[in-house]
This record gives sequence, C-alpha cells and structure tokens, in this order.
Amino acid sequence: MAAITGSYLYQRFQQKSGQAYTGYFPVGEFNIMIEEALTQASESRYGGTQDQKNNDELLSLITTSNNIPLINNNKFLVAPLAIISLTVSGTTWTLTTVLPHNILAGQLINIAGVSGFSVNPSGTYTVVTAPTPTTLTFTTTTATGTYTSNSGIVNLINGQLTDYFHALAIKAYFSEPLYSTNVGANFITNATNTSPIIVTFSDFNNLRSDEQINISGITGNTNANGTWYLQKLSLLSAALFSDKDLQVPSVGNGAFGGTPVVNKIYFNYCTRLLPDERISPLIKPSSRSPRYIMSDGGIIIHPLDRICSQVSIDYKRRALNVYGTNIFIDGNDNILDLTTYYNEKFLYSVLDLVILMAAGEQRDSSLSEFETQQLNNNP
Amino acid sequence: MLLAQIVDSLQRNVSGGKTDMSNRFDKGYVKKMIHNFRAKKIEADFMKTGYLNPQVYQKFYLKYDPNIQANAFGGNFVLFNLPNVIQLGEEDGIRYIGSISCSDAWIRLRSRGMMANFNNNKFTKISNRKESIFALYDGAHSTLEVYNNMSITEGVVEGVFANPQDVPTWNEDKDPYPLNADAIAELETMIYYDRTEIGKATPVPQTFNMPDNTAIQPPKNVRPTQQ
Repeated sequence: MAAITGSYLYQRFQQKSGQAYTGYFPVGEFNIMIEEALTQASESRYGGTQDQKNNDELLSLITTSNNIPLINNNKFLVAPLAIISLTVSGTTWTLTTVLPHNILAGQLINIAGVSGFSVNPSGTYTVVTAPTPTTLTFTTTTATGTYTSNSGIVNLINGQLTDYFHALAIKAYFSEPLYSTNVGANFITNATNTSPIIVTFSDFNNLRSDEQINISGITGNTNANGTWYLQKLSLLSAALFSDKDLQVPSVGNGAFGGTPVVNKIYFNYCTRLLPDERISPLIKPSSRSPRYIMSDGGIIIHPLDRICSQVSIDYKRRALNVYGTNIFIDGNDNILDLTTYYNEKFLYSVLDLVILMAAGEQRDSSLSEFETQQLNNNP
Repeated sequence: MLLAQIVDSLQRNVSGGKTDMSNRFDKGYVKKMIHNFRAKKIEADFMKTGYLNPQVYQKFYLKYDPNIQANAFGGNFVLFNLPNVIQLGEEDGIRYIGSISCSDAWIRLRSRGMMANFNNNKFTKISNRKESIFALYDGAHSTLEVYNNMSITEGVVEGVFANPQDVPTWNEDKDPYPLNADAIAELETMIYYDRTEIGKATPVPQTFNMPDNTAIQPPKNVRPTQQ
C-alpha cells in the first residue's frame, strides 16, 4: 500500500470534496482544518476507550505508566505555564506566570518563545528563588529591551507533562510514617546483622509479606536503611528483601543503633475527587486510597496531609506534532508516511472529518449529509 | 475475600457493571454499608444458631497510653482504647479479654451497676479479690477500664468489632474480610436489594430473619366483613 502522506491526504480531500476543480481550500487552510480534525477525532474516541477499536486508533495518542518523579506540594502541572511578565535586572530575570507555578528554588525550568529582549532568554535554567506562587527568578546573560506581552511559556523539567490532554489512570506514591505507641520509642527496635536482616517491631501491626517499607536513621547496621519488601516472620518481626519475590535478601553490616524512622509505602491508583465529595464524611482520601482533583493547570493528589513524592500516569496526549513545527499534518509533504505516527483507520476518519468541516464552511448541505453518513457507517 | 473485592462486586451489582466514580455508590459509602450489614448478619446468625463463625473475630491488642489515663478518675483502674463492638442479642461482641497469651482471662463487668453490686458486697468487693483482674467495657467512650492491677500495660480483646477497619492489625489489602464466605454472599444480596429498593417490587430473600413486609397483610383491628 502507498504511504499515507500529508500530500496524499490533501489530494484525497480535494477529490472527495470536489475541491479538485474549485480550488476553494488551499493547502494552508487544509492544514488548519486537519489539526482541528485530529483533536476532534481523538476526542470522540477518548469517550469510548473501553472499545478495542477506539483504543487501537488512539494507539499513538495514549501513553501509560509515565513517571513524574518531581511532585511539589502533591501537585504536578499538565500544561505549560503562560508567562505574563518578564523583567531583567543585571543577570537576574524575574518571571511571572498566569497561574501558580508550583515550582521550587533549585528546580530546572525551560523557557521558550519569549520575545522583546536583545538576548533571547529561551533555554534551561535553575530556579534561584520562588518568592511568590506566581513569580520566580533565574540568572543568565543580561539583556535590554521590554517583554512582549503574551509571549513565552515556562515548563518544569521532570515534573510536568507538556502533551497532556486527558487523564486515564493515575497512581500515587505515598509514604506514611509508622509510629510506636510507646511514647518516645521507635517502631523498629532491632535489625539483625544477618542475611536477610530481621527487624523487630515495637508494636503489633498490620504489615504483611510483600508489602514495602522504607527505613532510615539506623546507624551501625546501615544496610537496613532503604526501601524493602517484607517477609513477615511473626507478629513482631519481619525479614527484609529487595525484590517483590523475596529472592534477594538484605545483608547486615553491623550492630543495630540509631533512631529508625519507618514509612509504609503505598503506590495505589487514584480516583477523581468530585467537588461535592470533598465535604462527604464517608469519603476521606488516604495514602492507600488517594484521590485527585484538577486545579490551576495541574493535578493535585489528596490526601494533602501526606507527601506524594511521585506519580505514574496513563493519559491521552495531544495530537502529535510529527514535523516538530507548528504544522501537525502538512498537505504539501509527500515524504513522511503518517502511518508511522497514526493508525491508518484513524487518518481516514480524520480526513472524513476535514471534508465534513469543509462542507460546513461552504454551506454544502448535500456533501455534509453524505460525509455524516460516511462517518456513521464507518466510524 | 478482600473488602475491596466485596466493594467492587457491589458497585458492579448496583451500577450494572459501570464502576466509574461519577455514580454516587462510592467506595466510602459501600464500605459503610458492608460494615453495617455485616453486623446485622452476624447478629441474625448468632440469634438463630447461638454460634459465631471464628472468621468474624478480630484481635485488638490493648496498649497502655499514658495520655488517656487522666480520664481514669479516682486512679483505681487502667484505661485502654477499644473500638466499638457489635451487639449480639442481649450481649456484646466481646468474646475474650485478657492476657496476650490468652492464658489469663479477665473477669467481665457487664455494667457499672454490676460493678457497684460487686463492690457493695464485702465478699465480692473487687478490691478484695487481689487474684482477679476485672474489665469494664465503656462503649460510649470506646474504652476499656481494667481494675485490680494498676501495672497492666497490655492485653488483648478478641471480639466482633463494628468496623473491622478500626482494628489496627487488620490489613485491608491483604487480610480477608472478617466474615465467612457464605455470609458474604448473603450480605451482597441483602445490600443489593436494600439499596436498589428492588424489595419494594420483589419479595426480599428471607436471609436475615426479617419479617416479609411485602406480603399483603389483613388490616389490623378491623373485623372481617361477614358475607
């Protein structure tokens, strides 16, 4: 089969919509319409992702288990932040965002698309300070000029999604401290210098084999510090392994000492927290049953009184920018085979949608009716 | 069966398989219903057979907490936190209170009235019976008062707790829900009928010794008309 290129789609568009002889829609117009159609077609399939066909057609637009390792304040951004102000004083640049940036000092940001200065500040920088929720500073070469309004965006590197469109599933990583009920005592009272290391708990607990805990603060037998899978040996003791199958044991390296801090690890799927559920006494997000809400350009993971340090997200992404430019599918291009990026059937549906849009623009009711029928018969 | 599996099963039952969170049959609500109906089911079975399946028991380990001892007015007992237990006819759901090794059961005081009666008799006066430890469950405050041994720092209560999640040693993700499997099946049916109000149109299965209020009853205090 011939490759499906942008040029091929444009030709088919002309033939199927009768544009071959009217020439009403130049390729530039086609490129705009097909970008819109890409979004519409993927959206209509997102609504039915339980259906295998829709999943197949969205194959390249769905990404799973995407780890976001930097979560600040239990929130991660899912869209670039628009810049509304940028000033420079010496080598210090102060940037203001429209929405709260949720970025901390020391983190890496990427700035793009800013204009108005003698030196283009686009690039990657370390945040020096974040004095307010919407301002942050970074340093680079000084420049003259004035910020051009509505130019530029900023992204947090390693802590943000830039191609997010819809969430499918989110897993949240929480660690919850375990305390001894004996005031002033530690939850772990011993860690043997053996292989595997066997820890003794001060309290009867609900830890079970295969569950994960994180230990820190042990001195002497420092190998006991770290994240471990448990093999429960008795009500008050467990062996530490580094793998879920309990095949790779820990190895002690000294006498137990220090002040152990123990956290139980939870890495569970979240469900969305609906606005009215926030006041329900029956619904209380917890580390083992986390919930998420959308807010200020990002996703916030609840409970907020626990620290979510990482998430893994399945989501539907935006239409692929296959050329890396502002053009998503180029009706002039006759080289790039678009089937390497999109499902073939999906491309045909997108083409039908473009024709339907063209029919609407021309007030061509018979073509509109025909294309609607086409899409219904062969969605 | 895990609690999460029962919740999932019930959510599917009432929603026809749709389990997204936009419906109001959310997990918190379903869990509450499961705990409530479990209590009802256990009591019904106990009243019928006089027997409790051991699967419904949980162990709650008593741990001395100096912060709550201020409530132990008079200072003649040690106070422990204890989650609420269910009611089983004329008794409560506590089956054992005593040492962790289960070698030394403490004597239950059923009420403050009983304790007063004990203390008003020179032979049964609690403080005179140095060899015995007495325990009084205060359900209103979710506490257990232990008398006659001020050095007690730990113990165990085995019983049927109203909310299994209140027992800190129970692991919701790993431990089976404290109810026997056949009772779980009945519990699911009962909640389904109750919540979907199918019982209004269809007779409710007689699983809980409940009166069949769907059957047409003759009006009370009305003399039948002579034909």
